[in-house]
Amino acid sequence: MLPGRVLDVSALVDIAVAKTEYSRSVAAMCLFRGGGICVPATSLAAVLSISPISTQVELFELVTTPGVKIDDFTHGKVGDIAEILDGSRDITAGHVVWCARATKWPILTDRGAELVQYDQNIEIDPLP
Amino acid sequence: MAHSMPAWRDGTGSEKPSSNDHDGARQESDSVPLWLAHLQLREGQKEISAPASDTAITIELDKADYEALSRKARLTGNRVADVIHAALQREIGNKPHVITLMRRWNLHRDDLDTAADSLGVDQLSEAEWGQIGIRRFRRR
Repeated sequence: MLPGRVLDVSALVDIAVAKTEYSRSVAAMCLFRGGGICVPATSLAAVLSISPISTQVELFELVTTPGVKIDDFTHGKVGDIAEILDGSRDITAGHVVWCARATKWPILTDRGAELVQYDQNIEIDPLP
Repeated sequence: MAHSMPAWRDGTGSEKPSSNDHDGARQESDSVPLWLAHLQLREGQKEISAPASDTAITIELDKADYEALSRKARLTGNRVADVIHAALQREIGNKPHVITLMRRWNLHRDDLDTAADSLGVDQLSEAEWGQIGIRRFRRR
């Protein structure tokens, strides 16, 4: 199976500001080996809302690389994501988990324990 | 294959994205910001283009790989040959872009090796590291 990762907000922040080099390395290596990267649009929006322009360019470089897919939050997903959320208001978490279910890729995140509560079958790639 | 109207627009299709489906940024042209506009397919542009002259090769796959390939083709509504062609494009066609990204981020080889282990893929060979051409060495 081709490698892949779903990027949660924390992974996108890490790529933007390079707090660690782990997220950038995982994304680059995954793409180098022909894998895919899934960026939930809700995560990207959350990061762009707090990122200065100077760091947004790094996200631009990532999402314009072939193999990187932005997953839109569309009306057809509302029911599934509502079921995942089960009362929670964290739309971003629900969307990230939905993407992980759909792609069967691990989520690169710093809140693995929290996301697993939405679905115990998803895989987590924890940020260091 | 021409890029057709996504099925969810008329309520007939499933919403599951596939791992190599790049439709996400393209499905809703109205909502695509200007800085991502170039990701959209241009009118008449084909997503998967068949080679002008076909060359036949035989590849041997184990059962698990073959089933994964068939499942992928069914999910995306493509032929198995299209799935293989798309994978080839990713493997060969995308590398220059990824190398540009690696150079831009000036990544350490140690970090890339750690990432490879995490992903379950092969670490960079000396030849590949030379191809990437980042002048940084392993940390001591």
